[in-house]
Amino acid sequence: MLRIQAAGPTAGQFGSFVRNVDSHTSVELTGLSSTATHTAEILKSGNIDALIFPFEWADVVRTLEVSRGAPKPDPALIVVAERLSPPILVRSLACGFDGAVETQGDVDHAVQKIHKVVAGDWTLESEPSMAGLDLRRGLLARELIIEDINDRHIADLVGTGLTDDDIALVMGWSIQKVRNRIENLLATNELAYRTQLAVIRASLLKVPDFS
Amino acid sequence: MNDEVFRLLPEAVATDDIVDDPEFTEVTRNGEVYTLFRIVRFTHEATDHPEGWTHLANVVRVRNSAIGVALLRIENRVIEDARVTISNNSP
Repeated sequence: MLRIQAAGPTAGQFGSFVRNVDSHTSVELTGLSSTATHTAEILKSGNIDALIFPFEWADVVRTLEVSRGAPKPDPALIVVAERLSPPILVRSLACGFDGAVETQGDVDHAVQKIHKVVAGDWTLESEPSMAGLDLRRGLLARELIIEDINDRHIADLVGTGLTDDDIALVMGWSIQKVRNRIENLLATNELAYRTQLAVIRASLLKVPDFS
Repeated sequence: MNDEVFRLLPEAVATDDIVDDPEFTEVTRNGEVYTLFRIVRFTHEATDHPEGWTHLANVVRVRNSAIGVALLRIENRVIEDARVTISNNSP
């Protein structure tokens, strides 16, 4: 029996999907949380196999992952969308989801897919549309590793949208020193692209405290 | 190699004769990808290069080892710009 907690609105398509999942013989629905705070408490309890969220709650999952600070989720985090398109899969993977299911179609199929995600037999990264993208799970759902105050300044300035030339001017450094520092920040944080550093730095400024 | 633009440097020329820091970052893919290199040896000096390059050097990639050749624009002992051609991914 799969123990699933839902988090999201009780009404609408997601609520309807949750009720369908609840009626499935291989699922025990432990509840439906409609606030991020309650969801965080459920997540910390660790007494469930999977947490399902509507795609609209992707940023809630991102902030939950940041506050939890765990590299590997337990339970599995699964996004629910009417239809899974490549942009939805990319955003979900970056926010820290492990898997994804569609509300349209057979609920048996969706539950089977949740079972596969929980068992580790299927992940978002294994989706064909993710092939060739330099994306890792939870890219946006973690704190940056910052070694010193100058790295913090560089991350802030990149997150502000300044060019390398502008940053060199602000810091009073050579362009070479700025680029070497950015390269080191990217490598330390296992990021492939400068924009990823900017987005993570900028987005973390809005993370609420769930503790 | 255009001999009118590039002049072969003697092997005795040390890296720190030309730059303060032998490590530099090449920025590619529309300013998104940053790759760190270290200069092993300056091989040529350029004069009036039409693209503004001032030196040619043998380089190694610092992470994920590789060797290559770099066109460099150096001003006041600082590498202002670089274009690297990787010649071997496993030195």
